[in-house]
Amino acid sequence: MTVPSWDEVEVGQRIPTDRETLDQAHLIAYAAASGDLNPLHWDPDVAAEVSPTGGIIAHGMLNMGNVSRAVTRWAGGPERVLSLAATFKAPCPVGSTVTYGGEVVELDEHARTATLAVWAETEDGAKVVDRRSSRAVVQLG
Amino acid sequence: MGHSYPPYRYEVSREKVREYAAATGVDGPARTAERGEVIAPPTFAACFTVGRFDALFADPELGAHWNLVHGSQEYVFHRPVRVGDVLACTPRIVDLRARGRLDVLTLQIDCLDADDDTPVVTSRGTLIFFTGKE
Repeated sequence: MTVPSWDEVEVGQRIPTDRETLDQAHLIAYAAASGDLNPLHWDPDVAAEVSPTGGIIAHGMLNMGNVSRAVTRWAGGPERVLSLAATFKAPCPVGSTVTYGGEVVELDEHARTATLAVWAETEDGAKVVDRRSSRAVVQLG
Repeated sequence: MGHSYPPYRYEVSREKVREYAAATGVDGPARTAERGEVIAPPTFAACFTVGRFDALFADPELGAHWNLVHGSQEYVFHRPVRVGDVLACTPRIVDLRARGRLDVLTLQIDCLDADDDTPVVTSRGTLIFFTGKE
């Protein structure tokens, strides 16, 4: 993988976006892989009672994982991602098609790092990961 | 407040990293270019942090329940998580406040290398519980 070099990265630069539809099978695979067994993500009866939408919603951490995938690809490897923070603002209904993106908002010359605002958004514009308070810090080459 | 739970151990296995990577559509485990280490995707940390929130649910004093959503999550990676790592993870409640009908709990988990006690990942997450109270 190519590591973005300090000389080439500028504030305002966007990373390539990623898009994915999160169906029920996907949520179940994620629940099993991560150990996050909250029934809100797989049991329609529980979701009808407790979900903010009245239906099954995707794990915030699945969307954060997908944000991380887009950032890691741009950064040139997992070891270049120094921190990640995500705020799960809007619920993400099962079946949503979600776009994942990021934009360089700050550069630190001393540490040679870039801070990215990152986000995940449904086609309806729901901010499932809100860019105003979600960040990734990447070690540049 | 500041209540700590007993530390638990988590061993990072290649197959678990592979399973996590498949569920989130990434290649993994990855090998670093410089040192040839076999490492996990960053958010694999979910498996030994968010996936272990059940420690909270086993605490009768806290009275946690499944009527909750995850509000936010933050990870600081002091170094990459490697296949073969044994991590010692200590959960600690760093904040708990009522906001109307919600209780907002902030849980920090310090994950250290069990071999030498050096920090590997610091996790901080907020959980929003719906209390049904006015």
